[in-house]
Order: sequence, then structure tokens, then C-alpha cells
Amino acid sequence: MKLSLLQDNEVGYITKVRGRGAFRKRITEMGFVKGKKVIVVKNAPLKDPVEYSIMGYEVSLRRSEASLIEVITKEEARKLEINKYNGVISEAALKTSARKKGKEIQVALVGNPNSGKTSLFNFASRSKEHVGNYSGVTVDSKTAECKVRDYILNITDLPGTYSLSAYSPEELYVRKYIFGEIPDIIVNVVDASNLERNLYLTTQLIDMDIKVVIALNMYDELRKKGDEFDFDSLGKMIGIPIIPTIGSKGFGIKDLFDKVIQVYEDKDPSVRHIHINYGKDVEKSIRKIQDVIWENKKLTDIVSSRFYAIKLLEKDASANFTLSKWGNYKTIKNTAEKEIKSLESLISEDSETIITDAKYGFIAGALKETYKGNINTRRKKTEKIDNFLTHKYFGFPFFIFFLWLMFQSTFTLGQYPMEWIDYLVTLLGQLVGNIMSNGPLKDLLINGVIGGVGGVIIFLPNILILFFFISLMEDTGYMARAAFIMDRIMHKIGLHGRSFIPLIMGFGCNVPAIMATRTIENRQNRILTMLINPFMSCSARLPVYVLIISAFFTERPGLVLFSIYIIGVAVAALMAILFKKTIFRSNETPFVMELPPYRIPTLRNLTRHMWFKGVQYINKMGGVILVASIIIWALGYYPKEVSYSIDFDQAIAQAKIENSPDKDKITEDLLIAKNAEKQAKSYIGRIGKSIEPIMRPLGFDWKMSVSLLSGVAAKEIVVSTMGVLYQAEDEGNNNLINRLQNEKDENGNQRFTPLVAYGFLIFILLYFPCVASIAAISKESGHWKWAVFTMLYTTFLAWFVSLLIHQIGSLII
Amino acid sequence: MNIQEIIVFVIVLYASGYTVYQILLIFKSKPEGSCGCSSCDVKSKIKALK
Repeated sequence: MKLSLLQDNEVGYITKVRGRGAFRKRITEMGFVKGKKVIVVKNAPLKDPVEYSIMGYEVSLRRSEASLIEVITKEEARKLEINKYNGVISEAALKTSARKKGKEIQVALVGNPNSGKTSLFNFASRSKEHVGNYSGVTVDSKTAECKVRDYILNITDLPGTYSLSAYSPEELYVRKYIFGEIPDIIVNVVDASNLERNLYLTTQLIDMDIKVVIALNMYDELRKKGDEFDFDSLGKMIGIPIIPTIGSKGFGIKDLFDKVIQVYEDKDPSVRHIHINYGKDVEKSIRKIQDVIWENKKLTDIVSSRFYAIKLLEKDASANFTLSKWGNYKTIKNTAEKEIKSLESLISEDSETIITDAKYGFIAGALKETYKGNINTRRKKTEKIDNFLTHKYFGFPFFIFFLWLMFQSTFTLGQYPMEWIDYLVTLLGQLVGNIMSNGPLKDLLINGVIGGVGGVIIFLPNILILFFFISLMEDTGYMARAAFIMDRIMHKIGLHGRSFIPLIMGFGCNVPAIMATRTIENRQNRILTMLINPFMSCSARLPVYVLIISAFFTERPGLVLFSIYIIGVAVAALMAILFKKTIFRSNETPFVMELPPYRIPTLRNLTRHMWFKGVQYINKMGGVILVASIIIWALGYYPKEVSYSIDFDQAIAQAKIENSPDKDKITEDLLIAKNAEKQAKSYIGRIGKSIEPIMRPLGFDWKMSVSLLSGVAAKEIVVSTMGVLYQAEDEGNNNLINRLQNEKDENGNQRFTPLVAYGFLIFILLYFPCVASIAAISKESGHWKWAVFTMLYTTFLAWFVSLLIHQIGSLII
Repeated sequence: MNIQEIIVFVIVLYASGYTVYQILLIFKSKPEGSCGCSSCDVKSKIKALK
């Protein structure tokens, strides 16, 4: 706990001293060091300052200063369980626990987007956070604990950021985290293949005057190029130790953490604070602004006055806002404005540019002395590949070909394992049928659980193949190229190419895709991207497509599947144009899209991505799909007794007595009619019949309508509901595809014509995204009205498009 | 009521309860902020500044 929270006469042992610069030096000189005992003597009448007793003498500290010192109390020591007995905690034990507590290090990973922070984080903490070769994969911070010797490192993975300006939410978030949470050590993850740009962020960390260790990540790529980089010398030059790492393989992580501990314990001689020289005139201005900021001791104990002075010269809105809370803000603001004016007239350049130029000048100078090599080798390779993949004419066809290949493979390669699983599911149904005696439980297990869940689980291979391709796109860097290729089209619809990344991610799952819109700065564009995201057909819809296509489009399944996805993209584009012209009439914000170098994906990452998706899918089977299948079954099974239009039992008995040659066929037909009537009069039948009039113009019957209704919870449930609803007419030996093919309407005609089936597929593609997506839209947009709007407009659009398909199609075919 | 009916009754009751609970959870979970991440307060401050 913080020293400032101790009550009168309470005793604490110091575990950590936070703060910086002169404050830290002064406080440690006064004896506030790890393991020392502090007693609260008394609080001043206005609760500030507080008098403490340390090393036999009394000192008074302001509450704000005391809050930068961490202590451990007897209570906390008890919780740590270092004493196994319930007696009085001895002083020695308290000291031990203070030392133990002092060995907890808060580490924050800071770096440019796509510099490998999350790979490093995953390896260090054995976490499984999502990684990809494009910017903005991490959109929120994640924390994990890692034990190194007798130290505990609490590592926080922060979103990638190019700088610590108030330009994007990520940049602000990282800056706020550093100042608000005051991590003990910042690990600045630097992409070794892109030193110049990555070190820009480092220069800002230098200005902040905080403890930093640089992880020179992807070091293998630098070595492969044969470049020479004297990182030791650079480290000494900038006063920050540099450790080469390869995050994805775990290389150097042990050394990195050893260095973190060394720097934390102030045992690394190379650590020192340097000032980047911004030139005589700028330095003079910085000094003047610093002088007025210094008057706020409480602030400068935590944050470097130099950092704020530089930020003010950069016209940083957030710095202005933070300083506006302090008493002499007016003076600070006036001084900063005066200095900006004088600098700009002196150098004839915007003050922000002056600072940026000076930082890059510093980096160039530092690298000139320590870095030798062809910095463009990997870039050249990347450019060669890009010459083809993002070519003016070939780029787009290649992208379309890749998408087609993805869906074709999903279909064809998935067919074989799908058949094996289907065989096992059928076998299980037969086994249960043979073992159990007739009754509702047997019916529930065969028609509800096995029919419902089994109907969905057979699509697991297709899901895995789809995710293999998505992961391949992400890890190689092609995802960013896809966004680049689409940039021109996206501009035409009023969005930036960057919006295409969340859209492509939507092919996997709409929920993380909606969350990924956080990387879009413009709020209106963000909401617009969220609104059109549900048209990007997620993997949960894949089982429905595969089921319907396998049943009714056997000649060109891959092409039909591909067409569904393309229609989704086209509808998303059209809706974006419409929204841009009506609801979101804002100008687009310029943004530089980063094209990361191509990387060979690791098999480990690809398989891990597939594995987790598989586990997630199976978990869904055991949760929402199982529950939905049970409820759908119960609604279809009850009420047990219904009044039939004719006495089927008597008619069946009669048919058997008559001994006609068609008696088996008649009996079977009567049984089918009986089951159909029973189902139509069940609770689910009544629900279906009530919505059937709305769906009838689309060619959908009540069973299809109910299936669509159930898909509101999760799209896979459409398949499980169909699995349950289309059970009644056979004995469970036929698979769902055959049952759908044989399904007849009340006039004995085929229920599913290819036209109805295609309309059904389009309805699935366009209507209400699942509840989780709606919740994500509500959360991410900050208002439930966008969630309600998405529910309504997507469903209406689905109905309208399916109506057009059915009505116009019926005229042609 | 035979044993099969009792078991089915319990299973269906549990499934219904689970569904209601999950729906309640959706409504209960408060949005963390305008974008779901904890940097929202900073963003709203910036917005207020502008």
C-alpha cells in the first residue's frame, strides 16, 4: 500500500520508492529505502503534511510525496503468508516480507505497432494473446505474471504506438498508463529491422526520464541481412541498456528480464539520463517553460518537466489539458505560446516539425556511429513481392484469387473429415437408439442433443481450414496488403483502407473485428465500420453455408460459397456509401497505412491459432449450442398430446389390415403426416407459424423461419435447430443434408429449390448479427442506439434482398 | 411421471435457467466507456478540450 494511506501510529516497511529525479534522490538520501521501518507520528490538522519517523528521526512529507512510497503493513504481511503461525509478526519477518514485496516489478511493454510486443509477451508469460503481422492487433492492455528467480514481473502488454503524442487513442492510452500507473520499468520493444522509426518513440521515453530497457526484437532478421549493429555502444550512448531478442522464439528473453531486474535494482552502470539536444534556441525555450512548470512540485515528482515542456512546444492538447489543472497554468500557457511564436519566427518552421526533425537528427547521428549495413535488404525483398501482389493490375485479381482459394479449400478439403465426423455422429445416434428404451430422454438425446450438436460439430474441419487461411494472411503480412489493395475502393466509399482490416477480420468473427475498429481515429468512420462489419460473413455462418450448399449446389460448391462472401463485401460497400451520404457526412482523416515486411509464418503460430479456434468452437458446442438444441427440442416435443386432424393411429392400423401391396408406403406416409402435424402443433410450430406469414414471400416455411429466429443467439444454432426440426420424418439414419433434400411442402413439392436455398443463404448472410456482435457494437460505439439500429436495418435488408431473389428468380426460373 | 420424464424436466429447466441467466448477464454488463477500453476517459477529456 502507499505510505500516504497509513493511519496515525501505524507501522510500515518500505518496499518501493517511486517518483523520479530530484525527489527520488532526496527521499532516498533521507533514508526512505527498501526495508526501512516507517511510523506515522501524526497528521497535520488539515491532513497534510504528515509526520513520519524513520531511522530514529522525524520527517514530514506531503501526502502527494508519501503516495510515491510503497510500504507493507503487518496486515499485508499476514496475507503474504510468510509466517505459517497465527502469532505476532516479528520485525524480522516484516522486513523479509518488505523485501519480498519489493521484488514485485511492474513492467510495461511499449513499442511501435507490429514490433512484436505481443509475441514477446506471449513467450514470456506463456499467454496466448492474438498476434499478427499488421498494425493494431493489440487494442487494449493485457497483464500477466512472470517469475524470474525470486522476482515477480507483472508484465503489461500495451497497444502499439508510434509516438506518445495526442494523435490517436492508443498513443494517449500508453502515455496515460505510463504516468498514471508509473510502471517500474518500461521495456521498449524495438523492431531491429526498422530502427530509425522505432527509435523515435525511444527518444520520447528518454524525454520522460523513466527507467527503460530496450528489447531489440526480431534480431534474427537483422543478422540475416548481415548488418552490423553495435547495440552495446548505442545503449551506452543513450543511457538505456539494449538486449537483442527474438520474441517468437523466446531468444534473449531471459537476458532481457535479468537486465530488467538489474535496472530496477539500480545495478546497471550504463543506465543514465541523457538530454536529447534540440539545438540552442529550442533548448532555451524548453528551459523557460520548464522553469514555470517546476513551480508544481507535486507534478514534477512524477513526470519530467522537460517532457511537458517539449510536449507544449509540440502543441500537444493532452499536455495542455493535464497542466490546466495546476495553479499557474495560465503562466505556463502564456510562456509556451510566447516560446512557440518566437521559435517559429526564428526558424521559419512549425514548432512541432522543429522537435521532430531534431529527434530524427539525433537518431540518425546515433545510428551512423553504431549501425552499418544495407538497411534495405529485407525491404527490397518485400518490395519485389509487393511489385506483384500490390500491382496496379495484378494486385486485385490476386486478392480475389486468394479469397477464392480460401473458400474453395475450406469446402473441398473440409469435405473428407466432415464425412468422417458425420459418420461417427450417426453411429452414436444409432448406438443410443439401440441401448435406450423409448421415452422423452431417448428422444432428447437422439433428436435434441445428437441431432442438434452433432449437426454443427461436423463443420469443425471447415472452420479450422478457414482460420488457417486467415492466420496465414495475418502472419505473412498479406492482411495489410489486402487493406492496401482495397484502399482505393474504400476511399470511393468514403472510408480508409485501414477500415478493411477489421472488415477482413470479420471473416473470422465479428466480435474481435468490431473491437479492432478502435484503431480507426475518426469516430464516425469507426461507427460506420462497425455498422457494416456484420456483412462480413463470420465463421459461425460457415456451417449453415456448407450445409445448404452441400445439399443444393453440388456442382460448384466453392463458387457458390465464394459468391456469398463477395455479396457480403458488396453489400457492406453499398451500405457504407449510403451511410456516408446520409448519416456520416464527415471528411476522411488522412492516415499513413503501414505495410510491414513479409515474414514467413511460424508453424507454431498457425497451429496455435487453429487449435484455439477449434477449442472455442467445441466450447460453443458444449455451451450455447447444446442449450439451444435442448430448448428447441423441448419446444418441438411439447405439448405431448395434440389433437390431430384425422385419427392417424386408426388409419395406420387400417392400412396394415388391408394388406395392400403399398401398405408399407401408406403406413410410412401416414407416420410422416402424423409427425409433421405433431410438430406443427407443438410450441415451436406455433411460434414458427406465427412468423411464417412474414417469411412466406421469401419462400421460407415455418421451420426455416424458426431456424433463422434461433440464429439470433449464434449462427451455428441455425444448423442445430434444423438438425432438430428436420428429424421427425425419418428414423435418424439419414444425415441432415439428405433430409433437407427430401423435405416436401404440404403439396408434396420440394421444399428447398435452389432459388429458395440461395435466398436462405443470403438471409443468413445479411440478417441480425449474433447477440455477442450486437453487444460489442453497443459497447464499442458507446451507445445502444447503434446496436438497435444494426439489428433493425440488417434484418430488414436481409428480408428485402431475399424477397427480391425469390420473387425475381421465380419469374426467370 | 417416469424417470426419463423427470430427467428431461430437470435438463430442460436447467437449460432455460441458463439461457435467462446469460441474457441477464448481457444486460448487466456495463459498457466500460465509449470505446470499451480504459483510455476512454482521456479521449473524452481531449474531446472536451476540442
